[in-house]
Amino acid sequence: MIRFTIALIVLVVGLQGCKESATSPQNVDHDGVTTVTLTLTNMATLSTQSYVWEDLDGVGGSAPNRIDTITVAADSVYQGSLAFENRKASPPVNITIDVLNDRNNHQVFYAISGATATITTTDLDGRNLPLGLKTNWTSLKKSLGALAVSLSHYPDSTTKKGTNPSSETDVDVVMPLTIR
Amino acid sequence: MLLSLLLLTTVWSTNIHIHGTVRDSVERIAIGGVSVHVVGTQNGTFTNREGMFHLHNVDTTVQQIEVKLVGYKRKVLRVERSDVLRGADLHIDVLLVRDTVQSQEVIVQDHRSAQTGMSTQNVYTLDQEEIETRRGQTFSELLTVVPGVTLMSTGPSITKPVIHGMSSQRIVVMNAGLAQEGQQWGAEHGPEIDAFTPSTISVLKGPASVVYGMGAMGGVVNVEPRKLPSTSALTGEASLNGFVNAWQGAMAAYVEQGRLFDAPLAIRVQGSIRRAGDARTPDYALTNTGFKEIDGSVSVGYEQDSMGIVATASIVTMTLGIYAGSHIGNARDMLRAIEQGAPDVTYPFSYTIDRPRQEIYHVLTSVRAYMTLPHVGTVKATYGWQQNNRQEYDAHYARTTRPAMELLLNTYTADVSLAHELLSSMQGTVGVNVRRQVNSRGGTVYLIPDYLAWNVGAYLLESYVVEKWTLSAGVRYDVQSLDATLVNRLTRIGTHRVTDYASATASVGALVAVADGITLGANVGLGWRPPAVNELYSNDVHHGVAQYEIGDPNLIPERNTEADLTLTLARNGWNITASAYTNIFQHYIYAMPDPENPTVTVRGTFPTFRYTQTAATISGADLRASYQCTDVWQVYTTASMVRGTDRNNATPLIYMPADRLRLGVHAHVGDVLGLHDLSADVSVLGVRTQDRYVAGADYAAPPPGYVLADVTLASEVNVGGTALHCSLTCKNLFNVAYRDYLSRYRYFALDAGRDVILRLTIPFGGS
Repeated sequence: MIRFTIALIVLVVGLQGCKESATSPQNVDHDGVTTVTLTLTNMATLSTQSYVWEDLDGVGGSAPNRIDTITVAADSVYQGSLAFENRKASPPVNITIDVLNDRNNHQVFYAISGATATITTTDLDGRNLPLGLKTNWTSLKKSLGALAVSLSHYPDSTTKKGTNPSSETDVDVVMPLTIR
Repeated sequence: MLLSLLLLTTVWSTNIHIHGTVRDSVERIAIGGVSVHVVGTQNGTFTNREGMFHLHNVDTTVQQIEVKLVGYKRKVLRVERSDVLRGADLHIDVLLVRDTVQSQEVIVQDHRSAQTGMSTQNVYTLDQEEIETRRGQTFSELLTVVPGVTLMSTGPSITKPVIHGMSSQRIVVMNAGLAQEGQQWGAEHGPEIDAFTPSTISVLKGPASVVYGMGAMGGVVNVEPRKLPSTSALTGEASLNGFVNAWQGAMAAYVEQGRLFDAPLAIRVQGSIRRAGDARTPDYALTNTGFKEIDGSVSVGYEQDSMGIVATASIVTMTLGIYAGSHIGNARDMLRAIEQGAPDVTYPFSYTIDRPRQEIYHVLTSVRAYMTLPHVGTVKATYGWQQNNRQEYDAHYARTTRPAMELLLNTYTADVSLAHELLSSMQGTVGVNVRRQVNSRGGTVYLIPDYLAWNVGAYLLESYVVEKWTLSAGVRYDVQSLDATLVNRLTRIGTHRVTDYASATASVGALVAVADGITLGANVGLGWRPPAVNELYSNDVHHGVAQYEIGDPNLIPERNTEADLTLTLARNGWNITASAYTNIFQHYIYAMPDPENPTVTVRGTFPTFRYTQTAATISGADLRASYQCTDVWQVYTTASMVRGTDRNNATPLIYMPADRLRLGVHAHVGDVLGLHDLSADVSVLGVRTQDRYVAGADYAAPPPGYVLADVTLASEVNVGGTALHCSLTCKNLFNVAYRDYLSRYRYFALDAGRDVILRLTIPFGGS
């Protein structure tokens, strides 16, 4: 009797199988940044080199798959340009354009630890506050260190003062830096 | 429609009020939970904790009033015509005589719910006044009146109950006969239940796995829709609430009617709507903490004594704003926000609900049938379907219109039980439960995978009453099979991983009437739960707490053994329930910080938390005591303390509620200045700082303790023959700036400040 009851209930509950797929959530990927590319141009030789920080499967999952070491010559001047992409999506999404279009609500910050170089931001947003996609680099002496690049997002542009990071960091990556 | 009904009631202005008290015939102590009912109508009520009842709009043609409570002899009072003519108010004091068999046990185990039957466990049923003076906020907020129940909150709109230091997967919330199945693993995922549903709400503290299955380790919250009417009168009730703090408005109404088509067929239709703007702390508004909710339900029943069937369908839809300042980018932002201690910029009050926010709907349908078989017992069958859809929108990467995480959970359940009476003094229930659950996810956040889960359980529970003793014992066996689809995020290829769990549980309990008005109850129970799906497979950043949570697929089931002791005393004006408990956990599952291996992501570095298991103990004590000084004055207190210890590491468990004590005075003034049943309640809640924590394991140390004062005035107001129930409450009277340890916003901002709440309940229709 009990066995029959269980079998009956299992049947009733199991018969409901097929209908949930119609309303299933879509597995759409959002344009989160997977790849940060820093391109440096040596202003003396005009040679160009790109350095990549990449975590192809996004924020969760496995660790970053590529973190390049930035290598610059001592006593040199470089121009830097930063790009953000989502290479997980197909086709890849250029997020730099989004940042540029929404420049009053974003700012890139650079922080060097260990090495001796200075980075100054050369581009401005619509209110003449720094944006930080374009930079000037002045390297001094041979040293080893790290560069932290962070992209702050200001949901309210009036909270952007040009010097303060926001409480919403969209990108925050660290790459080794060698000056030789 | 509503207006015309109101007008109708004014015609019957010859209605009377009947009020009074119900006491025990021997001890003369007040008895709560007694049904007082006008015979031949559906006009009825229950006595409150102090034995008082108020029947409104009683037709002058009334003949008989029935007063009954299990364990007492039923009493029918005849209302004489002359009594009625004497005035619009009739005061009756009733003395109930104990029934010989069960008397001793039942007398102080007041408010026992039909669900628990002859339970030896600690059950607290909220009385009507407790519900009415708390309604309109979140459902969980109603439960805070129960000693030992505290809230884990994510702002004023998202709260979830914590019973004896346990929440989420360690408790079960029953709604219309079904275990509510949402995404309850999340600390910021509250139960999707409409606080306005006309229902009986009770809280069982202690393990109840035998009847309620896996997960009922800490206790059960039971929301049982009120019985459908059995008379042909169309009646209903409308509620209006206004809250000053967040300029919140709430409206709810239901209509019900029985004897449709001259058959034992009844229907109830109910709906509610709530809308709130930003909550305000004493110093600033909490931007984006508004919410809106629209709920509705329909119940239809065909009920006779020997058989019946009741079908209920309900929907809860919510849009919940998350405080913008709590949605931080990474660990560095978190530390900066904590150091700052207040919002970056304070915006003026607004109803706007922007990102981050949650959009949720929950559909629950249940069909319950019962049939009494002669010489066998009552067979009950319940079939349920629930669909929970949760969309969480992040503030980050707002360049897409899709939610960052979307979860769709379908739960199908079927339960069959047989309640039988072997001897007149021995009764029990045997039953089986089957559950099938299908979850599908979308979005970029991988906190839980797609899965299919099957559960099958069978149980037997028997109670035996002999002289002063009630004894109970139960056993249960459960199996669960969980088939999760784990997706490689890069290749998007899914692989199935099946885990099976099975376990037996058991409980024994005893309740003894030590002396008149004093009982002592003791229970020992086992509970267990399989690891939850997030504890097995989570692998992402948990927003708002800025921690990276990594599941462990090899976790084994968590088990607890609970022992509790409850003393109840009800004599000479005293009403005391005191209980102590201890829970000994094996394989207690928690998220352990892994400071050696922070997680590197494109958004920065996050502290890593790994789900792991330990041996733990959660012990504590609850108290509720009241003393009726005079007919008017009552003083009361509630208190609770919880101690959680990780036995393997000899450290305190994180997120245990801080000790709390409430002291209050309640005055039932009666009739003054044309107000009927005027009552006033003043209470002070003191919460200690949680000094049991592991330094450095949390971003910030627990906040300091605080003291809040609350005041409530309640009364009936007669407007054109309709008795409106209204109450005015002031919470946090002195606008104290505080942070609760279990508030998830405590890192970033203060809790809400003073709130003034006006509640109106308007009955309409009549017998």
